[in-house]
Amino acid sequence: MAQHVWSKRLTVRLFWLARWLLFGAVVFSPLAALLLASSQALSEGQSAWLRLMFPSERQFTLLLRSVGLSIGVAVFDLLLGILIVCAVWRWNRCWAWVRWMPLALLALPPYVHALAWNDLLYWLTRWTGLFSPTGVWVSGWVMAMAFLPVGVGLALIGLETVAPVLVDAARIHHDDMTTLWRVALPLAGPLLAAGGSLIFLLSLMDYSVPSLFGVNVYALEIFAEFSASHEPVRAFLLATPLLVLSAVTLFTAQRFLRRSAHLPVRGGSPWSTPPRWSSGFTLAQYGALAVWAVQTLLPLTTLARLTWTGEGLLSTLQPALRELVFSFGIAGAAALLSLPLAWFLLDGTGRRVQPHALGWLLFLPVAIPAPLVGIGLVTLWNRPALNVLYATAWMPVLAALARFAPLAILLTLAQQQRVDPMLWDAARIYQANDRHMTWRVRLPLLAPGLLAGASLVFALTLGELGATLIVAPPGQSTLTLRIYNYLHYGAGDVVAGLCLVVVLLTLAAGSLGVLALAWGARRDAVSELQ
Amino acid sequence: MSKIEIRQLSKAFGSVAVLNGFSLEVAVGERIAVLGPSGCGKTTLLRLIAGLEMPDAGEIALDGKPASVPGWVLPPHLRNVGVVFQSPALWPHMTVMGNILFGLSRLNKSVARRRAGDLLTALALDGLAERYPHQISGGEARRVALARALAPHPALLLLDEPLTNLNPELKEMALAVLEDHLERYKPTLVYVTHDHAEAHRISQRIVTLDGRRPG
Amino acid sequence: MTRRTSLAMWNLARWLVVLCCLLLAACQGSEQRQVVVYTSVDQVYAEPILKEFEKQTGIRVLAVYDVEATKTVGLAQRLVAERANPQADVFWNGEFLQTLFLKEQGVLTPTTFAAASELPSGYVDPQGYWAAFGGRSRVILVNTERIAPGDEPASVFDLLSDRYPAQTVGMANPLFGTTSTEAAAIYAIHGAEEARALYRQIAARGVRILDGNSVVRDQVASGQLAWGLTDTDDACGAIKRGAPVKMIFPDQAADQQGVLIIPNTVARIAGGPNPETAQQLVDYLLSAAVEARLVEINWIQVPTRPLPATVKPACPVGSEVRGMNVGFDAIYQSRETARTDLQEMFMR
Repeated sequence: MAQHVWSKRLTVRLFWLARWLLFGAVVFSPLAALLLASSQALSEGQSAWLRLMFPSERQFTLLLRSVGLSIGVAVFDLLLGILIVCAVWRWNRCWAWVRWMPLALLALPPYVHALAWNDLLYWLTRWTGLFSPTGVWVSGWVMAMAFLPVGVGLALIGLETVAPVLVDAARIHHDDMTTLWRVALPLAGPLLAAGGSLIFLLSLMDYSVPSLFGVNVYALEIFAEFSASHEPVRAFLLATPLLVLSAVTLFTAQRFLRRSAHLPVRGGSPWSTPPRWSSGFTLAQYGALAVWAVQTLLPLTTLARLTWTGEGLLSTLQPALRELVFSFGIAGAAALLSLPLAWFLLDGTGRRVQPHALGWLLFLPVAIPAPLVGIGLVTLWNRPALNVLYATAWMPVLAALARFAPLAILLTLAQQQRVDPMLWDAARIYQANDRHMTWRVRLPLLAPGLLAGASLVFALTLGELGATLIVAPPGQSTLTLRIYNYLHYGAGDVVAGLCLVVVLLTLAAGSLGVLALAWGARRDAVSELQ
Repeated sequence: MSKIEIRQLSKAFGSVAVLNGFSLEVAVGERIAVLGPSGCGKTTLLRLIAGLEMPDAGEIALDGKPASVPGWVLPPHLRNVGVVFQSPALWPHMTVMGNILFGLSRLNKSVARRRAGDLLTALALDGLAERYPHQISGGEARRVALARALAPHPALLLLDEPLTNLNPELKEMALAVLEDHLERYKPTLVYVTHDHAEAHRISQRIVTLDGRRPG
Repeated sequence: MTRRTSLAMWNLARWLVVLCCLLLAACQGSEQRQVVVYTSVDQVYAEPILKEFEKQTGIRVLAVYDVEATKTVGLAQRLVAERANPQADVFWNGEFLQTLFLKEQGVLTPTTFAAASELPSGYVDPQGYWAAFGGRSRVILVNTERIAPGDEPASVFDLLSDRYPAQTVGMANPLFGTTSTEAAAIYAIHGAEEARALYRQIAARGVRILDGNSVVRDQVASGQLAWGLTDTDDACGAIKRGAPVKMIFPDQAADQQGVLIIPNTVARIAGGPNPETAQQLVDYLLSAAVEARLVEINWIQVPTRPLPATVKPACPVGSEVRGMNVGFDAIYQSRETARTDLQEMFMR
């Protein structure tokens, strides 16, 4: 009996170890390689490089500017997201489609958004003289537009955590505005804050948009250093303040997640009848919807216009067909593989896993600049013994997983927080076996979060450049690489055509996810209310 | 005081018709209990009266004025109604006292606090005022939900199995508090329960929903 | 073994089988002769040249392209990182500084170049690590609707001229790309003190610093800028697309510094997996025929060899362009000083 228990414990522990080793190997290996390279360099007499970890006065200014810009972008996007969600609640209860559509635009690199806005701003400047085509405000606006899909998507997820019965209970006593401020928003707060942290991190790491509008940010300083010194270790040490900031942000976000509401939520609007907002709030919603419409339509119409006046979509697509297939293959593989990673990490003993106080460490790899991730992977995998994987299509997949798998885990964790803990306990009581519980209970309950995470990984992988460039196998290239090449060349019509194809295919993929979710929601629609 | 008139009320969720041509009249101050098998539409009926759902057909009038018709409902907070839901539905970010005071914001603060405190004492919840919902038991949460519904002295009380999970002693105490409140303030009451004895004790009339034809 | 334990083992085994299948699928090798080339030349230009080589020789070319958006931290870093286990055979660079850096890092291997005798002095590394051929040049691109004939700038130093409001003239960020190479060249020619003063004044004046040469091109072409510094391939692209622009080679007077000419460089990677085909590709890229072809498709505007009469340049540059009288090594040695100064001035 004792031996039986011992062997069971050993199996569980081995499995636990295997899970964490897999996660570590996939997500943390670039960071580990960089840390190893850093310690080697320092031990070889480069200790003077340590001062790079502490910003100079000039660098501190850049850092403050980066942080300020990113906070502004995160707050603005979240506010707009909340307004848009409140507006959508008022109009249409069948808004499952709307939920995932914004993600399709995530596949467009921020740079493409920036170019579309740059053109518009130039014309506005010429006609009105009121706008400046450069500067922090313009840069912040365009970054907010580029990440607005994330803001809307996360606001949707966050506000959905509010249990309808809690909203109902509040509506008995107060009007819908009071219910929103005193009940819905506070209850959604933890997830909204976690979402805001995510947008903060994404914009902190981006240099392409600020650079286009003449704004120097800390991320650009890192690349300037890398470009000049060719030393990944120096760039990594210089990135330390960003890593520290990201760690603080992730720790805070993770603490918010621990405080999420525990009542079961089926998803969808928590308002049983359409809410009635005050006129001022409704006006603000119209404003937010207008911004969202412009943010969606501007790059799409610019793309469509350029494609229409150019060579034609098919002739643009034909030479890029191979890159198209390769890009979608990598994005699909990264999205699919992020699922078991998220699954394994959240699969304790079948119990609902509480976020650990040190859980924020899981997400730290998100903060590493993309080319450094690539260099870390090359350092690790470019060895004769591991050559079977190196220089294959698996390297860009690993790069995408290292960068974005933690985001899938974050979204799945958020989904898990929304599920009534008693549901896990009940399943453990009544399950026939582990597989029975996994397929019939745990997977369906976590499916929305897993799908959301996989979709996010898919969209971000499609637009990934910095790490892919370093690890793409010879003879293979991604659509993003081709888009940036043509951007540089000035073939705006070709770029537009390729971007349009990316958006349409991502929309199609997103629609499939929406159908699946809507089907799941319809299946459970009635039972609670009878 | 609240008179309820329900005429040919119908409500479906998807393809499932929960209520079909249901009619009922409840006089001012009358106390009715609603009985019926699971899934027959008792909770849906309560939610429709509260204004939390919109009817597909038919009408609900309160004190002779239309309150719910297809396409429009009078907002719940304007109906002077108190509701206890099937689950306690306590807001997790507010203390027990905060949950009760939420519906008393129109009163003077000290009056509101006193009223809430009296109810907590009556329901044997002394000492729990500053605790959060996750720090109290299921039975205590049920009693807090009842206190929250009674505190504003609403003209219409809608109680959906409010005493589930209470042991006999606490159930007796809660019923006594409820009866005392009904005696003093004479609200109209619609009480959903599976317990026939409870239904006979608390109500003057019993309405049965069988899920097949109008009650 | 309990049922639960066996299920757990079965699950683990199943995942391992899947992983192995995937790995094996990746293992499929090819019997075809091949060569791996890393190139920073724009894919639009490099791809047809490499496809032509494939067609002529039957050797499969596996290319890795670079992008300007990564601020030159792409391929060079990759080659250094792969040094212990090289994957590439050939490095075809659109400029020369990265090639000199790679030589310094021991990434390159010396070889003989069949076309060496056809190339100008200074265009072949004395140790045989690299060879250079036809290239681009820095150039001033002027919007003809905003600048009247006779009022055009003629020198890089016109960035400081009061004739042109600062917000109407621009250049790419001097920390990256060919603009940084030009800065290093100016440091090499004029000395650190004078060069520092020039760039300090440019920064203080508020000249528009843009994200890259292509952005300068686009903003001059659209009229957002009156003129800017860019490369000839970008300038010629705008001219070809019918933009109202004109190209001017700066500092051409006898007493001026001349213009920076940026040749292509080709080198072999030490320890590359396909040495034989690598040599064939190197010699092909250095051939006069390829140079002529690159002139025709607008990658090269300043050829190193006379062009056959049948070759129609995509962008005729007119009479002889006077280049800077400074060697590649001198520019390479100045880059660090230039970078340190420019980072302080422009990264604010």
